[in-house]
Amino acid sequence: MILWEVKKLFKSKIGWICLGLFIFICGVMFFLKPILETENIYRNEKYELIKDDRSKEIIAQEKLDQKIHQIKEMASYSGNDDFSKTLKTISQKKLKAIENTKYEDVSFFKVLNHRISHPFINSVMIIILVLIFSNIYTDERISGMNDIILSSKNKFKVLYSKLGMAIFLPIILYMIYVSIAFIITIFQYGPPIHGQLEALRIIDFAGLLKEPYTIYEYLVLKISVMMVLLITVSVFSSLFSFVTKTSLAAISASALFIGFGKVITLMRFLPHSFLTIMSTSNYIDIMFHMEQFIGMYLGHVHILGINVDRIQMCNIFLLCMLGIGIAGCIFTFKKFLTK
Amino acid sequence: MNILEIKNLTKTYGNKNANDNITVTLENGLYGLLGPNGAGKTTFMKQITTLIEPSKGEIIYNGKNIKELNEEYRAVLGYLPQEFGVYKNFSAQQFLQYVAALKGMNKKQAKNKIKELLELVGLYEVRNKAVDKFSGGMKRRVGIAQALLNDPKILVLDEPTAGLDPQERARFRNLLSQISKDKIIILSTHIISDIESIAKETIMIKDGAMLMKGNHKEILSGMEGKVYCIKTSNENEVMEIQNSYKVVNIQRSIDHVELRVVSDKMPRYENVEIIEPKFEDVYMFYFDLENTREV
Repeated sequence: MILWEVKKLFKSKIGWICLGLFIFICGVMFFLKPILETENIYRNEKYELIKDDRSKEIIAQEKLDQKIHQIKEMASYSGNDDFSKTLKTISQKKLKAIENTKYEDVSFFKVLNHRISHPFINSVMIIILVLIFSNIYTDERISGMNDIILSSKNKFKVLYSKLGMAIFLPIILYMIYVSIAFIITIFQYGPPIHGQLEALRIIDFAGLLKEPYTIYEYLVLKISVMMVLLITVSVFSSLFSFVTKTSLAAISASALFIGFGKVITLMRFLPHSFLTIMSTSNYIDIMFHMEQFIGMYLGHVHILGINVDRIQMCNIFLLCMLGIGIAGCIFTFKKFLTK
Repeated sequence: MNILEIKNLTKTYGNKNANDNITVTLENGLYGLLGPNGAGKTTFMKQITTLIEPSKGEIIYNGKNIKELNEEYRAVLGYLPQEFGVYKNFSAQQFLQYVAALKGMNKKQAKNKIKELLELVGLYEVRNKAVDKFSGGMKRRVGIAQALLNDPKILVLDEPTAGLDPQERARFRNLLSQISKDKIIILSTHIISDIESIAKETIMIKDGAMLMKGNHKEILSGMEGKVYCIKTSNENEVMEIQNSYKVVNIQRSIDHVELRVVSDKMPRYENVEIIEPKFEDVYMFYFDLENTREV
């Protein structure tokens, strides 16, 4: 039945609009480029654009040295609070893992890392998924097919196919995007080399990196979190499509769902630990500041007397939300659609 | 033999009973479901098709509760809803292929059945055309074909002939008559002629409750002595009769007017005679616009 769902999607206007948007972001990707490790471009106090004219190797080596120096400073810091102590341990671990302090070409991964989680790409990807999945059942209502589906032998197969699509389509779509990004980046920056080196070489917040991840590990972690985010949005959009009667209502509910976490962070009367979790695990901040979230150490939160890693707690929160979304859909199939 | 036993079926929305304690047993044959808008016909059919769950009561198919039969029951079900739409960009053939997949039919079996049904409903020549380009009547025919696709043992049709021209309606009636031998067909309609000639029995629903059930003879026998023909040439009298009685029909001749009236008591006019009841008299006698309610 899932193939029929895909067929229906590509026979609908929404399907073609989403395909257009997807092709658009794949095209835009060509022009997305971070400041490479081999470049040094900045604005001075007079807001003039300054470009470092030194050789690429020198600039890159200087940047790497700065990052290592920063970690070394953290490793020797003698603060007594929990945060400083943990950061010290983490930094020592990272220093141990550095085998080579010489700059190696990691331009491919630097650009790929930038492209797979760019806020603009993330936003359009979310729009695509909300458009598709907010209509996944409302379209059946509008076309008057819902009653035929719900009275058919395979009604649960159809409903679970829709849920299955909400889980797998974001994965497929994102993997296609990552693959295209991979190929385009190869053409622009050469083949992927030195992926086994430390992830701190391609990220800007190297000092806060929680583990001595390799570039490969870091990218896998980033892609995984991105997928969880996209699947959760798809699953909740589907849920809203199942429980509302119009696509406008379903789209509005999806938009509210995405923005709700961010709104919560403004409610200062809520418990501090809860606000701390929400300030890093709301979908808006993840979408726009993914760099500051993936694989980082941002301290601990105290929940019910237990000290829990803040980012770990956020990951648990994201997975819980996904679980709640899936459970909500299953509950809707069994109890709501045939009440 | 298929037996569908409906026991004390009640569906409540808030404090309103959309269906109130309906008990009826259906066997192979066509049953007409008659009642004004809002009487509870669609709610009744939606419960039979498992689209909504009864608040009280149960539906038993061949000795087993349909809730327990679940998928097994839905496999023998064919349903054409009142508001039937199709995927606009699908062709008739693609649409039926999709419905065949919904009904769990294998591809080969579905292919033959789709061809047979498209021919039956006269859409074979346009099978590859997008349904969006079809007229209302043609879309309805696609709906009829999808309901028959799995050769259902229980066929529920909610206003199936709406939008069909007289020729199509006649063809549809003949088709239903043919296939009703080995299945239970429940047909809801406002067009009395659709069920008058082919229904084994008619179930009349009013205010959510079953008013009566019986074959035509039984139903019409209850109307004997209640249908009158009043002849008059006085236009004021015509107005007066219309205001006082349920008038089924008004026929004007050159010198007089004949009014067909249904009433419990004999109207007190000069030229009144008792006449043979027809099925539409029954509808007029039991239902009127005031009885229509929103559920």
